[in-house]
Amino acid sequence: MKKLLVPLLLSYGSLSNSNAGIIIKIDLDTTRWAPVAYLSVIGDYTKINSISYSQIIATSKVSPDGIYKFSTKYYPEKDCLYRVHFARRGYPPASLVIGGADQNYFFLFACKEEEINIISEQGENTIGDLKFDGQGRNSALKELNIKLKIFDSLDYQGTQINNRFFWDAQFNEIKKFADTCSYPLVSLYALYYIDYDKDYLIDPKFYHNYLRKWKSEKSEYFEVFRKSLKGSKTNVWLILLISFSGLTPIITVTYKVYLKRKNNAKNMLTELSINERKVFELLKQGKSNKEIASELSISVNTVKSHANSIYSKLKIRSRKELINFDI
Amino acid sequence: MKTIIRKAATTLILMTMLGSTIFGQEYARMERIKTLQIEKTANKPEAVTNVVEINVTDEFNYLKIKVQGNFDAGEILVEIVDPLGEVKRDFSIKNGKVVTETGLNMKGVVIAEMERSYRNPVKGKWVVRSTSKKADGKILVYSLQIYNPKADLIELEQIERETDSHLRF
Repeated sequence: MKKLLVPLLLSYGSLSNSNAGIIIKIDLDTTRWAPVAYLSVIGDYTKINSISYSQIIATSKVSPDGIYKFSTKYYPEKDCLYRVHFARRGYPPASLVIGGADQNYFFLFACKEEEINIISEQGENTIGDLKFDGQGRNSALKELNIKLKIFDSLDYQGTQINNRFFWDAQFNEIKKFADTCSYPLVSLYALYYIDYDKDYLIDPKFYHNYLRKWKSEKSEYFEVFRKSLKGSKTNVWLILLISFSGLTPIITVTYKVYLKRKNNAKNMLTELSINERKVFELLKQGKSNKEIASELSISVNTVKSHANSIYSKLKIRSRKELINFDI
Repeated sequence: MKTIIRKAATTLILMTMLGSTIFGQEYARMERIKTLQIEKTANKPEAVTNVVEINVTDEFNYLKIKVQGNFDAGEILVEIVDPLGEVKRDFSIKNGKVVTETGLNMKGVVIAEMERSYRNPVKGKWVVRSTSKKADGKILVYSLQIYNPKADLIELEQIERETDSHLRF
């Protein structure tokens, strides 16, 4: 089947050589899915699981030979992340299905006047198994998505302890991929998936080296990433600049508010029992339940119980909030 | 209190006990539909949070959660949070009801769905949390819990397939 499709796609591409684009061959069940593909631009990696009409930049109806095509003539010169999705019949164009057999989208990178041929073969979900021509960044993205799928489905694998073990292993695998991948935007995509914000607090050296490695990368995605990393040099310079400016009264008021909040936080902490405070300290260091249990010689269930109590007393809802909780 | 979000009397259409013996030794419990009706709050720009709780007990060792957001205005973030407070997955919807800069002149309802499955899930209260701003629409939450003695993935998936038709939106 693929042997027949590749020449077909190549000939389609060559016929429209002056009008390069993204060419997708996919056999959709048109009794369930409308034969229209929607192309969205994802300008920010935090919006990967977001859907809105403002993201959609083009549509393509299926050709008689089952091909969808988007022209890349007016794309930005630099690589951008795009999402192609399909809508179920009777559903609005802006409809996204995340996970499960009905997952209805895939991502790819493209730039101005690039030609990308994609063939979908039968797979686990609506989109199927995608084959990109060449071994470029889209093939790397596909390779990454396979790893992410394993990472995402770890809850299937067994007991809680096993899950934690596999989770740590897969987390490091994805981080290693980000470190070694030669395509900067694919590499960065991996870091966004593993919640780099939290990991930065545990392993800042990795991120400093990462930023150094890609310091010449000027894409908007990297700009956002650099800004979001805590403790960046930018913040230090900003603080110094403010210190020497004439904003002393504002700084004084802000500092008082900060102190008041800090005192409130301290008061809240006094509500924690001694054991809860020990668990709190270790959670704040980013340690897992298993590590805490081992360090305090208590069971994992007891750690969980303390964690729930801490969340309730400090009025927080996640570990991320706990790590960011100012004392 | 003028609460902007009504739980539409938590339209619990069915809290089906599919019987403890339907699948031989397996147990399955399906909860459908919990609907959160989010009403438009144009004059209240602050974000509003609402939750649907799913109680996961020792009875079950498999959990599947499906959430669908269906909105024609506003912004909304939907998260699945486990009993330890960790956000397992999220999605967001933005619908400004305006013609976009894309020039495609598309507008109207925006729908996002998310489906996640967990074997041996953490016991306790799982939460589907929505944070909405000037939003007008609804969120449907389905959950399926199964007990299978061996927690065998193939068997669990087979049970899931048999009951999945009930979980379609």
